[in-house]
Amino acid sequence: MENNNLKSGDKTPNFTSPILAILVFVFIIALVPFYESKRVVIWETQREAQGDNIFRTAVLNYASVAEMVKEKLGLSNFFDKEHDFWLGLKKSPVLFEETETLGVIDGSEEEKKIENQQEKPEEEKQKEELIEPDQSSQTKLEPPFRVLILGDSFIAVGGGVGNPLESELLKYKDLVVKRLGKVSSGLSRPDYFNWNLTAQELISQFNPNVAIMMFGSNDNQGLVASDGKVISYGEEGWNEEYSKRVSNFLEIFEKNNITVFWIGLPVMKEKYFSERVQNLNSIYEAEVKNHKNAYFIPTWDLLDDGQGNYAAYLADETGQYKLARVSDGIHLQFFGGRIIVEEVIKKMGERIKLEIK
Amino acid sequence: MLFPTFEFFYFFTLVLILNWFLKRWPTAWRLFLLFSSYYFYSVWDNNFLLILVVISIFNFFSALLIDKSILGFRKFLLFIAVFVNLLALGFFKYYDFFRVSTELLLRKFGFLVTLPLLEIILPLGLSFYILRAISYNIDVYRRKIAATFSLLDFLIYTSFFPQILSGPVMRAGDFLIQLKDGGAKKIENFYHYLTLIFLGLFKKLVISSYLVLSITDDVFAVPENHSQLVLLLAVFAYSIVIYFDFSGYSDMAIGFAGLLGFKTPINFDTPYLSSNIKDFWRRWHISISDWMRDYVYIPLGGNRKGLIRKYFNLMIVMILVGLWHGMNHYIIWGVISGLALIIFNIYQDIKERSFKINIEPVKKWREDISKFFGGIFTFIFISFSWIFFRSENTANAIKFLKSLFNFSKNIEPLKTHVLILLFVGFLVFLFEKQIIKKLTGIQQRLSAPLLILFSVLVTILILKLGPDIIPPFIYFNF
Repeated sequence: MENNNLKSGDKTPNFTSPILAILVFVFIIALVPFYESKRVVIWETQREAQGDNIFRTAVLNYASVAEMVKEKLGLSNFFDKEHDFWLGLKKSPVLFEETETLGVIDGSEEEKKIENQQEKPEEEKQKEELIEPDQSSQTKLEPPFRVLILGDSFIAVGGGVGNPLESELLKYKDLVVKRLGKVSSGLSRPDYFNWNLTAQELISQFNPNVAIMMFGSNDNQGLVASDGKVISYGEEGWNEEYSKRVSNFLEIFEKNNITVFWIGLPVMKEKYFSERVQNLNSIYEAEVKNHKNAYFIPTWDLLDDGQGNYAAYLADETGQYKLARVSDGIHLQFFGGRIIVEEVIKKMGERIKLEIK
Repeated sequence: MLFPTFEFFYFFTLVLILNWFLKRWPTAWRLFLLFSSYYFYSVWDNNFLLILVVISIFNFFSALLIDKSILGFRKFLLFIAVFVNLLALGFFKYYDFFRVSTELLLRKFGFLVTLPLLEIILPLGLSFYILRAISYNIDVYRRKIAATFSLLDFLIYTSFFPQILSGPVMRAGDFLIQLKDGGAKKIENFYHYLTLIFLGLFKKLVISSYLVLSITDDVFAVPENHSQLVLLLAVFAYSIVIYFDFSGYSDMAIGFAGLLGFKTPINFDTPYLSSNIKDFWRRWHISISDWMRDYVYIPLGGNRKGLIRKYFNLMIVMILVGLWHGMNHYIIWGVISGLALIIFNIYQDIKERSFKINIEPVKKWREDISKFFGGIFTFIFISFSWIFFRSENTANAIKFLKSLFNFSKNIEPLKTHVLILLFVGFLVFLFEKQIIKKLTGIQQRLSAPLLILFSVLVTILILKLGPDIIPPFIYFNF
């Protein structure tokens, strides 16, 4: 490489003692995580970890000490308000709210259909009331459909289910889709992302009549119960508290007469995680049964090796093995996503009248 | 450990202190550099570290052999060294692609075979350190540098933590010399490096991450669900995302290395201000462009073997650039970029041979106009070529283009914050050099306590403006 490429800028060089650099960084790591202790906890616990290390532990411990100090000094209130101020700014309706959250519809014909649909929520309600949750009833929900897809990283781009499902649904007549996937979110940590509030907002903006959801991959962690008590995963009362949250979440959709399809989680690579996921699946399945027009779509068997074990590769229809899972042992490759999407469409077709364009 | 995380800042501060403290004992200092780099890398995965160590040791000895053997044998040894490195790269990067294609080919001849299913994880940074290793062997072969006898120095060169994950791909000659006698004794251009770290953080956290989360990810994943205007915005937003993401990473890499006393070549030189496509490739991801020029384009004959051969060589280089990123749509992206480069070269070659106006004022005026419009055209072209780069596969890229020309769609409301971020993004890349100069100047004038206060406040402000989750750097995938 030519030496002129080594120039680090077009200014005259100056030399500084490393002490200054060290001081700058020591103060940054002492003051920034102290000031931002809330964010440290959320960041370091909610993002996907690249493996534990002493520095991560040190930051987290420091942040919890900072939280304690703030509380003792009576500063918590100030920092909470300050946190909310920035959160408010970043969620400011002036900046962020879309005037109307419609998906894109092909042509003006569809536009009219949407208008009709918006005009007749009452009619829709009556129709929905006629539908029995019982399987024997063959009355299918009629189009047009406004489908809301929501969930965690499986639904966000890169997780493997959300965007292929959105793409696939768009192939059907009289159907618009809105998808919101939030990485690292779930029903365990509303302090990080509050799905109940988000769902209510989305429902009022988008006015869906069908919702598809997939949650749980980040939920096997401690819950803060309404009385402020922390219940760790596996402790007595965890399942009850989590079931309550699932039930409350489903209620939002039930109240709005929205047909819900809840996608269960597939088998996972790590045995302990797989067991936890199985527990979560059984909670979803049980809770879904308690709500009208809600259906659980199991995916566990779809992606296992035939004997209930995790499989990174699965055979396609020609018998060729394709990579179905991402190396993290959780998320899905394109091929794995396709298997789940096919199943979801099939199961949806049993309940709602899907007609290909 | 991603650069913009608290845990990395903790790690870096400790390294910074010990780095300067240990310099008086050069061997201990070098051992410490290696240890901290290996620690940093092993946090991702211990297996990655094992692969890095094996490949590094192989290249250390291959270069020594090349350096010390007799004339005829040297070429053969170089061939072996390059082949083994490329084999490692190909194996980790493309094994599954080759498995599926070979199986399909064998099926056509009636053989139903399933080749071993190896769930291979591409070690982070492998594509970068393999290039570093190849360049080292070739430089030794060309006698540009002598092979180092210090295994320790060489191991630091392949693993140096600010550069291991995504470059810049630094040449051994430029790096190893900086390890001599305990390296730099003071920090040269401290304020400049500090500015680069803040700018890198801002580019990644405030601009790139937000645009990824609010527009590019969703629009590129399902383009058919978005209106033309939103698709068009996503095209330009991605231009900003990829530049801010990668140059932000490079800024931080250069900044962190600089604070440890290491000079790194620049990796981006305001590429979106290029007046033509040739200029763009000189200013974009410079360490890779230079690598391709020195180790592929020139050995192929460069522009010394006639025009047709020059165009052919350009195409080969751009296809290899595409292939280095991945298969399928990356290769199409490489071909598109290659074609554009060829067309521009043809235009330049014709222009050179044709009649020239030599009246100075007219010439200057014409040059300015062509620079201005050339610049706009280049930016638009590059932005559109990213469609093939960004889409998950070729089918999606085509879907994107089809949706872009589907005039029967309704208008989709635009998000105000996306427009603001795009505007800020444009401003930053238009005035990047001035911003760096200004910020560096401000810091230089501050007394030590004020500089510390300034740094703390800037970091907090960037964090405040950043999203609550940080998508990983785009170039970690390659």
